[in-house]
Amino acid sequence: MKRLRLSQLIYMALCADLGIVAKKMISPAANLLTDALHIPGGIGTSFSLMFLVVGAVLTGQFGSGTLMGVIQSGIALALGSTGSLGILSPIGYVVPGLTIDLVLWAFRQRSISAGVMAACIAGPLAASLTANFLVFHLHSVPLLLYLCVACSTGAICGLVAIPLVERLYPLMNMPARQKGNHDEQT
Amino acid sequence: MKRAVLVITAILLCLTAVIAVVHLRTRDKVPEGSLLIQFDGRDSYVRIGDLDTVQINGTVVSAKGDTQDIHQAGVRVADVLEKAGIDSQAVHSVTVVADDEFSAELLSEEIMAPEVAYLAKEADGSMKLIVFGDSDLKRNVRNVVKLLVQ
Repeated sequence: MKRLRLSQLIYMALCADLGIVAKKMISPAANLLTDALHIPGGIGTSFSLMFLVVGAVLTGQFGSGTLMGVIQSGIALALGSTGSLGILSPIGYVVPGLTIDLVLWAFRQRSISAGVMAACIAGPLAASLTANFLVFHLHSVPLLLYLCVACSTGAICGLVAIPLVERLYPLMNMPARQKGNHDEQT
Repeated sequence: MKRAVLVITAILLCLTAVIAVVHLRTRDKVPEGSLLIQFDGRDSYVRIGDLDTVQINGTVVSAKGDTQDIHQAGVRVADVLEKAGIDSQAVHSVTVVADDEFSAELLSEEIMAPEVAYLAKEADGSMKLIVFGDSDLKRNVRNVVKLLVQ
């Protein structure tokens, strides 16, 4: 991992925090849906991981997703919002972060939209598989539904993340002088 | 690219809808206020209201290390099995399953122990698994609907 600029670190910290907040905010509505489907979750995490994908794409460094996952797990442990994973929650944050890094790396030669979409689907899928392996132990149809809900929500988050990245990416990769001019204009 | 992204999302949503319908149609339906006990290929239902309640008193520990005092009414898991006509001595383990398919396993020693495994009655009438001795509420199964007896 190359040395990160201060602006990149700030974006990463912001995205990690926004991910935690988004998960908390979406939880009541998500619980209504998962209760109706009789599955233990899979929606809130997708919204949380969307910000990790945005942060990882904006910094453009392999490992930034994992780093944000580590930050998120630290925040979650500090706030006591570890969810059903309990003390194992760091694994539940780091594995999707690593998955996001790997997917973005695999899609590095393709368009940003493709990478964002793939990462937004793969991240929640990895998180769901990890949670199922560690805690839920679902099998057959409930497991399939749980994974499909995670992927679908991830895809919807991808639709939100793509325009977000398309607008922020040029700003992040603009020379400092030009960025200053742009800020003045806006 | 935008079109491809929309198509992928639509396909995933359709797939989820199909699997949701299959899941909701094939899952075990437990009448409200009852517990489904599956043992030896047979299904039997136990009405929660028919069970003899006991007062549960004890302390459980959360993942953060916080202790939580439990003082509520409930039933011993062994008593539920007895009510379903199952000899607790012959049980190897019991998987306690929630309405959302989250599950936890109880071993025969825990079931047979006099003050370890309980189903506590919640305010909304649902049952919650309480296992005294767990270090971080690992088996905090809420809204219990099914016991799979092995």
